[in-house]
Amino acid sequence: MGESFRFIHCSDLHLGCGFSGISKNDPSLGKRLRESVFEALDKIVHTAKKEKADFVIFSGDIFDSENETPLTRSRFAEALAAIKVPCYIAYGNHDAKRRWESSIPLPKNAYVFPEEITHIYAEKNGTRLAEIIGCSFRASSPDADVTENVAKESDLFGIGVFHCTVDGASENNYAPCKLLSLRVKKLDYWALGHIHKREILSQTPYVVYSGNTQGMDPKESGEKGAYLVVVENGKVKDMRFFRTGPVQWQDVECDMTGMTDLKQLTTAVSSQAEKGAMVSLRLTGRTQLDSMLRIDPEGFKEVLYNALDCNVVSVNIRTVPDIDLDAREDTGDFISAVLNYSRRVSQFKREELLNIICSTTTANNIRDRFEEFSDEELRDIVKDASYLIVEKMMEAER
Amino acid sequence: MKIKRIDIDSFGTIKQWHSGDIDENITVVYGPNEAGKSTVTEFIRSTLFPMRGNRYPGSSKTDSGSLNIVMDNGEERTLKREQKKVTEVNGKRTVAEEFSGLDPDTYRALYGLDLEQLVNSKLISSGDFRSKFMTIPGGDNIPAISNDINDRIAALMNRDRMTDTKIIGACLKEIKDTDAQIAEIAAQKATYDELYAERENLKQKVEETRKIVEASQNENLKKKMMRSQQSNLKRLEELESTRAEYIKYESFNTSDKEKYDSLTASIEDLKKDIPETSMDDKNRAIILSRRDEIENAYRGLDDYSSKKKRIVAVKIENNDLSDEIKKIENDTGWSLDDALAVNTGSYISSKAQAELKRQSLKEGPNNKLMKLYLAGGIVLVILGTLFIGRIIDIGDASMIVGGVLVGAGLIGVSLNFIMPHRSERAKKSTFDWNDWIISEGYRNGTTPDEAMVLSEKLQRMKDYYKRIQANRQEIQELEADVSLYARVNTPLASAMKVPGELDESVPALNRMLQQAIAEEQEALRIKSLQTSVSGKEKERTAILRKYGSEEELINAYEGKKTLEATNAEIATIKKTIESSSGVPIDDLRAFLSNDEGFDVGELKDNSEENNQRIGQLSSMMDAIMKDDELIELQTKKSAAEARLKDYLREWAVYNIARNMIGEACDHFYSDLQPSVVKTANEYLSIMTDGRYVLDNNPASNEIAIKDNRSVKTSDQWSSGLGDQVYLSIKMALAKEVADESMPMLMDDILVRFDSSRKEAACKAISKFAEDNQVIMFTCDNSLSNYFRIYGKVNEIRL
Repeated sequence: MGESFRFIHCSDLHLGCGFSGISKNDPSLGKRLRESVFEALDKIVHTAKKEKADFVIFSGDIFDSENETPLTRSRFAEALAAIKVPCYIAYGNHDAKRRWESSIPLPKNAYVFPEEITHIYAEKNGTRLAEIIGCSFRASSPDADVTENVAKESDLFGIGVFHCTVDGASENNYAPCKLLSLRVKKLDYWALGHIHKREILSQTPYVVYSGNTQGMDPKESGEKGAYLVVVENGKVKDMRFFRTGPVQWQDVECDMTGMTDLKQLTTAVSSQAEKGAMVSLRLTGRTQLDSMLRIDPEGFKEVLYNALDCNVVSVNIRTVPDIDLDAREDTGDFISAVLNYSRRVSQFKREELLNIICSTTTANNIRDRFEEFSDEELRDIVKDASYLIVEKMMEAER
Repeated sequence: MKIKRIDIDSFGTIKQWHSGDIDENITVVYGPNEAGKSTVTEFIRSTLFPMRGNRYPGSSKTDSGSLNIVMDNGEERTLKREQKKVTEVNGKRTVAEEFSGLDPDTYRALYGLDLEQLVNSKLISSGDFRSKFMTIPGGDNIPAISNDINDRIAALMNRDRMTDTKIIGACLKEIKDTDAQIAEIAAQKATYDELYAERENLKQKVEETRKIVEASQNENLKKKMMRSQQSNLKRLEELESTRAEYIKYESFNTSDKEKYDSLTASIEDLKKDIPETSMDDKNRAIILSRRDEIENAYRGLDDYSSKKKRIVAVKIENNDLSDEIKKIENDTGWSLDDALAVNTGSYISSKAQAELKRQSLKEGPNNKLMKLYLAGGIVLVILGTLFIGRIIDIGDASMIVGGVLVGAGLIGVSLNFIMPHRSERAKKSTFDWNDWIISEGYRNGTTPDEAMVLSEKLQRMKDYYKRIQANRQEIQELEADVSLYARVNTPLASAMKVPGELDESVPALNRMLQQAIAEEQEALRIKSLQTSVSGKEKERTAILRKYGSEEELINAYEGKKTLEATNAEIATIKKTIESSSGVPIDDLRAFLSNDEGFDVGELKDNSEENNQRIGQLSSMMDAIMKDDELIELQTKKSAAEARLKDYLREWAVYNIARNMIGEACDHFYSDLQPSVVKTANEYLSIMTDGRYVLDNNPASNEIAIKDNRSVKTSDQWSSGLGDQVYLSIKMALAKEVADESMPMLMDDILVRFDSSRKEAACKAISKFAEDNQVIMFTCDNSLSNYFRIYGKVNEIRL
């Protein structure tokens, strides 16, 4: 019979994150986003108290690299002090600098894992609840499997606290390890950090990425939060996700087929978008509005921003002109010539496309920036170019 | 249309010139310089397309001549010219505008070619012409779209160099500038650690100093506090001696004094309630002893009084009734006794009324009518029987008629028996009124009317009498009751010394009784008060007995109070002394007895400067801590990056689009050329020996040509090449633009060509002349030889 207790597992707070991917330079929005990571932290403090958690685990990336400022560090220290119960912290790759460690110390209830694997025991009223094994990210050897030599010392509920990449889940393969090797290590709960997407990789034992506590950019859409883990008699009895991120990034796709005015679009978007959310809008479908979207995209975006009560951070126009493109390809007029050629261009290799895009001196001077476009983005660019011509020619015909 | 003959009577310098018949498609008109080639050209042109302000020669009154033409359909027409006016033989005004569909300017630019008009490219590059003849569907919009895309690109970025003024350049600059600012601020932050260390050091120093100062201050403060308690200590001693003095009253029970005081107060209160005057108890006792009798008398008094009043009222009524009887006696002459002896009232009057009715019955009951009923009835029965017996036969109805008649007859007979006969009723009422009324005791001759009135009056008298008898009975009973009441109560009133009528004396007796009852209750109350007072006086005496006297009691009480107050003050002052001095009283006493008034010397506190420096450091650190600026810069940078990405994407779209348009055009025009371009290329190819073709890039408004190496725009052409290009295009257009084939006039346009080019040009013109008439004016004798290589030629000299 093991002990019964409950703890919070969170990771990737990225305090001080500056946020990116929003082209609108809106100071109040920026402030709100910057504050959101701290609000998420407050939510963790609040939940720890309300749910009477016995301890809290932070699985790395507390700070956001160079944005670890005295202010962010002191706010983190204050939050830990407010949690009161023990906090176990493994630093992550974004915490590597930690410049203010000596001048702004963390409170006494905080324990920071060193870079070597360390065993400590969570206690309550003098009784040992769990054995916690972990280490902070090793900047000196980021490629090493930090979990390799993990082994439990006691018969208690075992928790591993690591900032690592399981089975190559991220591009920068920091601290790689294998799910299979984690599962055979006889721990009961692996509290992992680094991957921002929430995921329970295994339930026997639990191998869990709690994901980040607040989405950082449009790609990190959906609800963000942390887990409250309830352990009864040495077994995980319940995993409760709770939302912490006040600002939600949301992907909204809107099929505009058959739409004839903007009002229909704003209504459709409003019904999907959460109020105040940061919305990445993707417009699809065959619509007569396509020409307006292509010929004056800036004006259209302006109208959209003003009409919606969420924040539209980007609009990906993937609509097609309201004509039968296939039929048009065989008519022998100029539009058909453009469509035929665009089909050929879309088969071009990445290099060829970039050569066309960078055919002028100035464009070529900043070729490295164009190189950042993904293959998919480049393909969309080709499509947009052909639709732009088609819409313009149709407009001229009208 | 072709020109068949040219006849000029007078036009400019030309007088009487006749071309003769023109049969071939190519006509070469030779004339040296100044011979009037241009004049003839102008004559033809302005006769076909008359218009104001003919350029050359100036209009003159003698201008006249004619043109014979053959239409494409074979119709021959003659255009007659007088001055500017052109008419046909039939007098109809005709202009070639109508059948050719061309306007004069177009004709001149395409068909009236001299060296100047040949290279006039205005017409062929203008929108309408171009879109109609030089491009294919959709292609005419390409220049505008191309320009628009170029404009959009230009708004984003220059073609050849980076500038901050354009959107993308500005974005890049913003990112670069922001990076610089971020680096600057980040550099500042390095000093935070130093500031922090210095501040911590100073804080520690200030804290140490504070502790030392506090310690010394505390010591002196303690002494000061102890000294301050000297007077309190003295007062404590005084209080303690007072306490010793009064300690003997410690056992005194203060409740005795309080009880004594409360008894005294309540005795006084009770005494106030006892009245001083006493009452007449004897008289009250007499009255109360007869309380029941008095109450009975008072209870019966109302009955007694009302009965007395009733007796008087009834007596008066009897007197009135006797008067009434006497009145009737006088009226009727009948005494009461007489009246009592006879029947009266309704018995008599109803009989009189019947008599009056009987007398009113008339003579003559109609017995004849009854007999008629009987006779008629018998007749009807007989008649009916006859019908029934079919003695009178009226067919089937006989039985019914007979039945009805018998029925009616029977009714008539029975009426005679049922109705009483009046004569019989009159017989029965024979009655002698007078005999009857006498037998009743009334006077003889009393009529029924008189009897009715009299019997009523006598009856009334009888009624009055009966009432008087009843009243007398009642008076007797009432008087018996009244006298019984008087008999009982009159002696009671006299005994109580209240003589007089009982109506007054009984209420007086009752009043006396009520007062006696009230006085009795008051006496009982006073008695209970007196009992209470004496009880309390006994208790008070018992208390006093304990202390000897009232004075002693008061002394003990006061002493106890003083003792208690002293005790309380001692406790308070002890607490004050101990808390203010911070030491127990014994220690304080010991300190004060040895105190020499010495203080610990105070330390100089230099924390002020240190605190100032700490403040400075803190504000410097705060400035660094306020990293909003840094984060804002980072946000700004990422926003600029995001925007840049959007713009770059847009730029990429435009670059691809531009490429697509170019490629599409190339592809398009290599496969699908407009017929004009095709024809022009054919001519150009002939003239340049296959070297050049037109480069009709739809994305450009300019006319360009290309060989297998490069594209040449008009500014790169030699004058000869230009002539070749334009001649090709104009001939190609000339084949297509007019509704009627129109003659092309060429005024020495090949002079800039060398002989091989001339030959090539003549070959191309001959090709053109397969379908169109060409009139070539030239001073070059050799031209007709070139033309002749390719076909027949008309030659005319000026």
